[in-house]
Amino acid sequence: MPVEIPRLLIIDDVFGRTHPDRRNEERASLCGQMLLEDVTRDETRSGPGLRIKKPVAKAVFFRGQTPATSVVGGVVENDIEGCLRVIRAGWNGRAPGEPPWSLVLLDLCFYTGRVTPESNRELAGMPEGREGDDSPERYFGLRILQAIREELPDVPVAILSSKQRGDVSRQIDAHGSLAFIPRGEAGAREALQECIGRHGLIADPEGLIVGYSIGVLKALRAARKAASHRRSVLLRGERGTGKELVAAYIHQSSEDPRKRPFVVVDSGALSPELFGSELFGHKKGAFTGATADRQGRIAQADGGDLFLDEIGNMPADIQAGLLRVLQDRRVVPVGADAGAEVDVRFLSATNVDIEARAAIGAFRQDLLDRLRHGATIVLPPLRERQEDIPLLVARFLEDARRENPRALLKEISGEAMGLLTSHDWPGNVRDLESCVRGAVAGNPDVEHLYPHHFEIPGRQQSRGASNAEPGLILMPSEATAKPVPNEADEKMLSRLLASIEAFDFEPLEPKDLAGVLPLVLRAYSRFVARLVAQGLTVTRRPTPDAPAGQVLISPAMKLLTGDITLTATKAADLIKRLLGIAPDEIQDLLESPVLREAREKARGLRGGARAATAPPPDSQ
Amino acid sequence: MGHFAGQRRNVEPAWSSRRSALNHDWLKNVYLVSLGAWVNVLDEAVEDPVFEREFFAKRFVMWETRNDEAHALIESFEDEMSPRLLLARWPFSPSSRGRLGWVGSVIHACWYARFDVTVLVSTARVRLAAADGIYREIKAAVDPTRSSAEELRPLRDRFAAFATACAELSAAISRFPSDIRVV
Repeated sequence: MPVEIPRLLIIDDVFGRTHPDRRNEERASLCGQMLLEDVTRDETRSGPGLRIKKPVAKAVFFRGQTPATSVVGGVVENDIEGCLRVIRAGWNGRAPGEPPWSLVLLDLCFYTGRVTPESNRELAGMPEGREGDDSPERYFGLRILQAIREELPDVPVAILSSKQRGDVSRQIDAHGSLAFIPRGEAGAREALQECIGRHGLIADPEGLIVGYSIGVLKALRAARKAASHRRSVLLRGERGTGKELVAAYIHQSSEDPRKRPFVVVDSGALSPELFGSELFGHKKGAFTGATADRQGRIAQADGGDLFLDEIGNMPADIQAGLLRVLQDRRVVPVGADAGAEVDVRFLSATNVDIEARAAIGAFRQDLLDRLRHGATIVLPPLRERQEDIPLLVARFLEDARRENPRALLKEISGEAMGLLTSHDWPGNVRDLESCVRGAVAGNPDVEHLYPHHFEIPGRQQSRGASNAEPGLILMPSEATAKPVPNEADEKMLSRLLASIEAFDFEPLEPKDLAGVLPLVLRAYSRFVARLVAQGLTVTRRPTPDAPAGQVLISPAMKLLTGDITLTATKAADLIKRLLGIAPDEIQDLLESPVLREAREKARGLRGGARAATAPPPDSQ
Repeated sequence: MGHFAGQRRNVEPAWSSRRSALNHDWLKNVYLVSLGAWVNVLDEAVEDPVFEREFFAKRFVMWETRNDEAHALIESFEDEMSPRLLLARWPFSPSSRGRLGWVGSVIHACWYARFDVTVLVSTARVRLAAADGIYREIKAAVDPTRSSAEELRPLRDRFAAFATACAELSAAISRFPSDIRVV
C-alpha cells in the first residue's frame, strides 16, 4: 500500500501566480530545484511538462493575493482570508483519506499595487509595489503567520524566503515559525528536506504505522525528534494504540538502526520473581534454577534501545533497580557484585495514569522523571482517529490475504466500512486488526464482506466505554485527550466490590486454597492503602507552603467513610488501623509523600504510637 | 531610473532599490532557482523539455547583462551609500554645504572604517569575478547550437560550481547595509 509523500502548501506571490497563457516558469524552476511535484492544477499547458522522477514532496502553490492571475493594468491586493481558506481546506476541511498539510511555507514580502508594463516586463504579472511592501516590519508573510497561529495553532509553518533572516528573526520566532529556509542559498533543497523531516507532519514512508490523522502524524513527528537523541522516552496511550510500533519507529528513525539492537520487554507478562533476572540478568547460582550466567535484556540492548511495555505493572524492587541503571548507566546482574557499563535508550510505555500512581507511591516519581526525560509521546485512541480506519482496514486486509492465500480476494462493503468506522474500539487498533483478520479467515469463500461477517468485540457497548480490563481498578487516565468519565470509574469500583462480595469459594479445592491467605492479605492491604492515598490526594488543599496541596486526614476519612461527624482523632485512629493491616506488604506505598505525611499527622494527633505496628483489627 | 524597482521603492536609497532588484528579485528568485533546477536536469532527477530547450539560450545567458549590473552596483556602493550624502539634504541648507565639507569627509572616513567598507566591496568583487570566471569558462566550452541537457551533461560539475559561486555572490551582496547609516 503506497504511502503518500508529504504535501506542502507554498504561499508566495511569485511562485503562486497563475498566468493566463503560459505556465509559471519561476514555479517550474523552483519545483525543479527543490524536487517538488506541482499538484496545484491551476495551469493548462500543451505538450510534455515538468516531471520530477523522485519528488521529495507534493506542492500546492497559492499566491496569497487577488487576483490569482494579473495582467498589465490590473491591481493586486493581499488576501489574508484567502490564505486562511486554503489552509483550512487542507487541514480540518480535507477529504476523507487525504493527508493534512505536512508543512505550510510562507514567503515574506508580497508586492501589491498596479501591474505596469515595466513591472510586467521583469516578471509577468508582477505589480510595481507600494510603500511598505518591502519593509520587514510590514511583511505580509508575517501577517499570514500570525493569523495561522491564532486560528490553527497546530499547523506546522516555516518561512521560505530570499529575504534576510536577521530582519525578521524575532517576529517569526515569536509567532511560531518552525524554521527559516533561505531560498537562493546553497543547500536550500537540503534545508527544505531537513525541515520537512524535522517539523513536518508526514506519514511513515515504510508503512510501519498507518494513518494520516493529525494526532498520529504529530506522534510520528515527536518520535522522529526523539530519535535524534539518546534520552529516554515515555509512550502513553490506551492498550492497542501501537505503542510498541512507535517505539520501533523511533528505533528505525535513529542513526544506524541496523547496527543497534532493539529489545522488547513486556513488564506485564513477567512474574515478579523472574522480573529482575529477565531485566538485569543473573549469575550462576544466584537462585534456585540459575544454572548458568544469563545476560539480561538491558545488557542485550547495549548500544541500542530497550522497549519496556506496561511499566505501570513493574514491582517496586525492580523499579529501584531500574532507577539505578538509569542513574549509573551500569547494570548489575542478580547475584553479582559488580556490573558492566551500558548505553541503552529506554523507550517505556504505559496505558495507565502513571502520574497518579506516582502520587500515591505505587510508582517511583524519580524513576518516572528519568523515563520521560527525553520526551513523552501520546498516541491517540482509535475513536479519535476514525479517519484512519479505512486505511487500517485496507492494511489488515492485505496482511490477512497474505496469511490466507487460499481465501478469495476480499472487498469490504460500504455498510461494513461504515460499521467499522463508527465503532469506538476500546481495544483500539489491535482489536480492529483482530476483527478484520477474523472476518477474512472465517469467511474464506466470500468475496464481499458485509457487517454480519465481522465479530466486533463488545458491539453492544455504549459509546465512551472504558478501556480497562474488567475487575481492575480504573485510574483516571491522561492517556486520552478526553478524561474518562467519573460515572465509568464509579461503576468499575462498584463492579469490583460486588465481585469480591459475591465471590464463590465453594468450587475451590484444598490445592487451590493452599497458601492463598497471605496473597489475599497483600492484595487487600495494598488496595486499602491505595484507597486511603487516593482519598488523601483528592482532598488536599494547596497552601503557600505546600503548593501541591497539604494532606488533611480528617476530610479524607470523612470522604471515604461517608461519616461527616468523624472527629480528627478518630480519623487518625482509622488511618493507623487501615495502614496497619499488613504493614510489611505496603512498605513501598508508605514511602509515598501523601501517606508519609498522613502517618506523621496521625501520630501527632494520637501521640507517639507507630501506625505501622498497630495490631490488625480482629473484628474484620 | 527606468527600472521598475526604483519606481516602487522611491522612499529608500536608489542603491538599495537596485540591490534588491538584482539580488532578491533576480539572482535569488530567478537565476539561482533556474541553476538549481538545471543541475537536477543534468543529474537526470528532473525532466522538463521546455526548460531544457530554453535554459542555455534564454536563462543562462542572462548573466551577460546582470554581471554588468552587479559590477556597477558594487562599485557605486561607497559613493551612493556614504552618510556624507545626508549633509546635502534637509535640514542642512545648500549654503552650509561649503562650510560643512570637512565634516562630510570626517563622517565618511569614520563610516568607511566602522563598517569595513573595504572588506565588503573587495569580497563582493572577488565573488563576482569568481562567478564570472566560471560563466566564461562554460560559455567558451559550449556550442550554442548543441546545448541540450544530453550534450551539456559532461559540464555538470562546472554548472554546479557556477551555482555555488552565484550563491556566494548573493551572500556577499546581502551583507551590504540596506540604508544609509550614520556613524
